[in-house]
Amino acid sequence: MTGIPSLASSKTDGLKVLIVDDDPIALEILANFLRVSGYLVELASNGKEALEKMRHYAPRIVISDVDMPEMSGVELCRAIRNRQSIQYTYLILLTSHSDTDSVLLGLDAGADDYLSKPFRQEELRLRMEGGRRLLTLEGRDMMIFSLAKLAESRDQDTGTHLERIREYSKVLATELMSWPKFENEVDAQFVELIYLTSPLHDVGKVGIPDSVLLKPGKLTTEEFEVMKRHTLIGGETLSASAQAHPEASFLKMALDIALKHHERWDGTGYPFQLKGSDIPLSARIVAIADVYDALTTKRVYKEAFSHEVAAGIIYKSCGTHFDPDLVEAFAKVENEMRRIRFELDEENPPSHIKAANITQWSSPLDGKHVALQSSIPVPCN
Amino acid sequence: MSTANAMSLIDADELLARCMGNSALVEKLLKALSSSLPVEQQSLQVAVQVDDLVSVARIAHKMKGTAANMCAKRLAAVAHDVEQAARSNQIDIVAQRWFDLKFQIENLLDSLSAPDSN
Repeated sequence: MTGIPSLASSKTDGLKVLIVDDDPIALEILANFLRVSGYLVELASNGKEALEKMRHYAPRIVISDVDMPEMSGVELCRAIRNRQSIQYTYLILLTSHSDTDSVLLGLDAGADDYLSKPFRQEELRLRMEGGRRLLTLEGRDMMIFSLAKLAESRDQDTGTHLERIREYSKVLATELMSWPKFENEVDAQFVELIYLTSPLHDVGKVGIPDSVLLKPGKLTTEEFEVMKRHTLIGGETLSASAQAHPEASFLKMALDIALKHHERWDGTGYPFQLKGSDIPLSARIVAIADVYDALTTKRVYKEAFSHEVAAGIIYKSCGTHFDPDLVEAFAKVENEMRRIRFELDEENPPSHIKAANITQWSSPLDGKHVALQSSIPVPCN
Repeated sequence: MSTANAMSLIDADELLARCMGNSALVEKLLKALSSSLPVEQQSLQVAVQVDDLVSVARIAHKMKGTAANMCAKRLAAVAHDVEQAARSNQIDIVAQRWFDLKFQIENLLDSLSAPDSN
């Protein structure tokens, strides 16, 4: 007897599926398999009926036969892709082995995958898994983007602040990828994750009152204490999701960054006064990216500093505010940082920026003063 | 209806596995097959008699799919032959293979309607 595959490990999360076929026997067998596998299943006997059901059922995956009366599977694919939809629908076409023309037409019309009839259970399981992975990625990226934009809408930073942060973070992480010291920690996936999650660093600002968040000028000691809570608020926002989905490494990294990007290498940061490598690497990277961005952009309390001045402040803070390794990495990718700043600085095109005649810089977020030197020191020498 | 008889023309183990061990679903599908097969047979016979090869190919294609899903492998194979012959405009082969297909259909319908020996 043909074995029934184990479905215990399937993670279908009750995903909604619509099956479209004019053969009721094929519909029943497919629907039964998917229901046993944990999917929520709706049925339609042709493309027109499928479109009608999609208005109310909103399936994430549609599995459709090709040859059907009223509206074919290929026409259905085209109609689904032409709809205005807030979420992606994964489309799988059911075809016979000899029907390669239909496969090509279907893929051209927007199908994501195809499956030979009669379907093999293991093949269908794997195809569905592929679709689920793609939809999960879409959900992840949409969630990150939405949260980051929510935080950004409450902030007075410029529109490209988040874009610059993730580009700076990516450049710094990419540099570390080639260092033997970080070979077990930083790989291509780490770089991708920090690119995705660094825009969430200030997500906790959604919980800071306008009177503090939008205050033009320096914060009082009390206001600064309120502002510091944005790290804890961001941490709380993300920790529930991270605990519910321990397999989602992007949530863990997002949590580390939101909660700890204001910690300082020497243990004088907040909220936990973590020291050295007790601060997650992702947070140490975003710390330097965030400060560099704050320095090189115009704020209500200061003009934009030139790259040279900003770099000088970062070198000066080596081993105090910043991880010495990251300051060294920053020195190696300075040209890249400068290029990103130039390309994404919509407020103050760099050609118009004059190096401000500033002898001291004080961040309203940490209240610490850094004396500037006239020449740029060698990092951590 | 006799499940036991029908199962001699259908791979019973495979069908039960395709139904995830759900024997009630197997019964339901056999009943659906015994209802739909005579209708398709009639449509196919008319199309063959008037040499409507487009309809022959379409109906045989659908019958092939249903048979394959029901693990009725012999029926699926002969339906495939009729479909291919129709698609390549081989009227003589369609007529020839149609008798094989008719025999398979009637055999299966007989077994589905015969009293269960158990």
